[in-house]
Amino acid sequence: MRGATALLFRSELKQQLRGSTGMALMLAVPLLLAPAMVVGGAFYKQTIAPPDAAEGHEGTSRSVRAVAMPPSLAAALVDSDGLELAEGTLPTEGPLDPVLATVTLKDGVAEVRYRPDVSSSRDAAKRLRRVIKRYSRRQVRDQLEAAGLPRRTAELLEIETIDRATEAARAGGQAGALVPAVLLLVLLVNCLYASADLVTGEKERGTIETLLSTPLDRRAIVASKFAVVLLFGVGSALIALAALYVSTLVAPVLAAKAGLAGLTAGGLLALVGVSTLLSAQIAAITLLLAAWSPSYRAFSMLSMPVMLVLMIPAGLPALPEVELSLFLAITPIANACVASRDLLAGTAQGGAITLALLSSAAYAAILLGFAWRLLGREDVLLGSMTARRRTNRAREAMIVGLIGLVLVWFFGQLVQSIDLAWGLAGTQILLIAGLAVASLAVLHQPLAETCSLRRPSSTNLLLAVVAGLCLPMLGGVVAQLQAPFVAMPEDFAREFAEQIRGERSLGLTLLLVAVLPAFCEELLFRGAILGLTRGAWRNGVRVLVVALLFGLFHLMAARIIPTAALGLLLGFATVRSRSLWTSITMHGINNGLGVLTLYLMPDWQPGWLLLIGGSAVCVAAVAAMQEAE
Amino acid sequence: MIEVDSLVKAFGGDPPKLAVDSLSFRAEPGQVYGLLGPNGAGKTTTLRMLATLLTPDSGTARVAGHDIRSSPEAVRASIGYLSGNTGLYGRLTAREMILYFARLQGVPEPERRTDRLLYRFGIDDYRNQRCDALSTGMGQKVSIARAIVHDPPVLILDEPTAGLDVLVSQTLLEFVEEAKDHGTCLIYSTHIMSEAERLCDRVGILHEGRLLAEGTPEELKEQSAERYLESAFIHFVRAASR
Repeated sequence: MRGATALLFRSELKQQLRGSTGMALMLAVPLLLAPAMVVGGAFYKQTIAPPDAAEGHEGTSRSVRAVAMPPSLAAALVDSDGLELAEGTLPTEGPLDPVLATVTLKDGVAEVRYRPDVSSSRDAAKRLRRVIKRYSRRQVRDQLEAAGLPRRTAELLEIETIDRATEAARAGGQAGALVPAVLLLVLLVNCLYASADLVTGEKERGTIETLLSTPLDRRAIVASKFAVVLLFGVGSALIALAALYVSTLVAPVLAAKAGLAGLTAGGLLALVGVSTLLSAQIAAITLLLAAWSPSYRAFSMLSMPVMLVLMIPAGLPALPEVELSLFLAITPIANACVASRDLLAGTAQGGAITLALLSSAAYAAILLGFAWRLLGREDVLLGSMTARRRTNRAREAMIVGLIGLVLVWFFGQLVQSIDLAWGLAGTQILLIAGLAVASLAVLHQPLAETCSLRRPSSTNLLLAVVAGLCLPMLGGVVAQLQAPFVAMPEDFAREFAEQIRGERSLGLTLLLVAVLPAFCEELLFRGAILGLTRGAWRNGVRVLVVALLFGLFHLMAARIIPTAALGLLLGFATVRSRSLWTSITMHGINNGLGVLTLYLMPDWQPGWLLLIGGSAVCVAAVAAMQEAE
Repeated sequence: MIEVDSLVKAFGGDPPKLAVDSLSFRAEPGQVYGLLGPNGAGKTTTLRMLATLLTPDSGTARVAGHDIRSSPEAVRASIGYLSGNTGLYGRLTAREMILYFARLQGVPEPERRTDRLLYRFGIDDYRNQRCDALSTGMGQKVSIARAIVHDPPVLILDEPTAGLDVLVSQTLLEFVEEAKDHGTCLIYSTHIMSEAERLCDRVGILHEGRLLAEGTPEELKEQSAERYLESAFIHFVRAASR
């Protein structure tokens, strides 16, 4: 297999190198991006960046108007660098001149007025505050001296902060905030193009079928394509790093202004390893994407949102408070970005960097494994020509889900803000169940059949009751696991229940929080949306997608994962039993137990044993469900 | 040489669509077996299963003595596969394309074999021209050369003349006749009846995955009491659709 892989690799590399677009992207993007970063960065720092960044440098003068000013303060203001005292009266109403900050002295209070939305005004106010503080301190000192008291009488301790960071570390940190973004952008552009050409393009041009008709092992095909994409990624990353370094040499002044003065050959060399691992992750992701896409059109539609999501971690190195913690070190892509910054700044911790490198390698291997499996599937390799038969209803199901999200966000929240209880009832009945029924009517799909509204067997119903009783434990386990990263606001559930309860009875609360959501949400999610995707995707994928949608639907970051986990169980219950009533039963019992606990045992916290045991029983009950037909 | 035994293939969906339903036939060396059928009859799926690009749901086939399920690589080494979907690498030259596949197939002295095929198909003058710059006819000739570069005992041709002009089609048909005389076993799928009448020793009529009728073109005409193979084909398909 090694010989075949090498032969394939050589030929595919030759073809890629002959492609003018691929070569242009590999060379032009990094070569043009480096000077663009230097020039753009310098321009940004000089003209757009907030005044904090310019503090300490010679700045432009800021106009200040002062009224009722003691002559000594006026003199201090006049003497101060960057402040220009203007005469005139103070505008009491309306906006201030952008470069204006005003100060009024009244009863020992210096009132500084400025425009926080205008950087020059913000800057002037900041300088004013500093000058006034210094003036005030000097006045106190003079008065103490005149009274024959020690200078420290009014202020026992003065705080003096000393920046001990070396110039190299500071500069490296600044450069580290920018370089990962350049690397990620260059990698994404090149890996996306190479993957599209080598996989989606081969499917579209039919050459993949030509290749598959030879005695080659499919693993050799995947390995060679991955190697070419990886090489293009690494190649472009190296060109980008070299271009950045050369830019700092040929334009040192601009590079310093852009915060890239800290780039050293040693620091950049240290990035080569990280870039390779980052390339491996990106190459595997883009190969997966290309393997999944039946055509260039589909690939380009998919790649844009994926690229945007993958670019998010590029912003992390710019945040000084973000450190390479244990969690971040095992977060794909983000770990390589932050590790790059730390390596450039010389602040990298050996353990964290090693963990980041190892986890990056592991992610690349896992993703490659997925790509391998995906490219081994005949429907994926031969695309729509072999075609597992797809229905267009999956797309419509996703549109229904998105419409649901929009309706709940805009109208659901509006009516709930007027009256929470009746707003919830209206949201459930009109916006959620109504949407399910209306969308199936518009799509001419039979309600009962699409939503699996058929009677479950008594065994499945019993299992649903058991699963429903244990479902809160599963939610609890997931909530506990995510707590270190995304914590549920304290007392959220109780406040929510109290709001719902108000002066109403327990029965009405159960109706609003347990019964209605069980019927209405299940009708939309496990009924209409899951039903519409039937035959389009594998059951596992359908259930997962609908569960994620269900999680998002709860409109709160801390609830997305726990509710998505519940959604997974509810989805599998529907699919396995082929009856929506099982998930309605589970959902109703789960919510009902939540309400009862809050009413009867508000301080009860289940232990880990109960949480894990209950979750296991819940999963086992759903797994034991059998198809009714 | 080719023994197809109760092949079944369904594609996903709810319910799954049966593309090939219990298909069985047999083809011998030096024989052209024609698969005739309208679009969606299951011809391409059948040929892809024989080329081991698809795995059958049930049933099996032996190609050049190798089982498509247990020895797919040996099967692929014994076949030349050409279809409307088997494309060329546009950034390789005609010579590089054939040479590349000669090497992938493990052909001894691949350069010599490549040069011989370039000459044999009259594409020697275009040897250094990139495949994306070749005309459709020249491209198809390169495809044929690519498919037979390892001199396979079995050729699977899926609508090979689709989209070709009369002259290039003629070259291809002559090549099929030559390969047949050479003792190669050919499976030839088409819906052009004149090609089937000219080339095929035996013909199987496929419709909705099922083999409706099988025999020599003469036998099929006789069974259907029709004068032409085209009429016989229509006769069988209409009878099955009723």
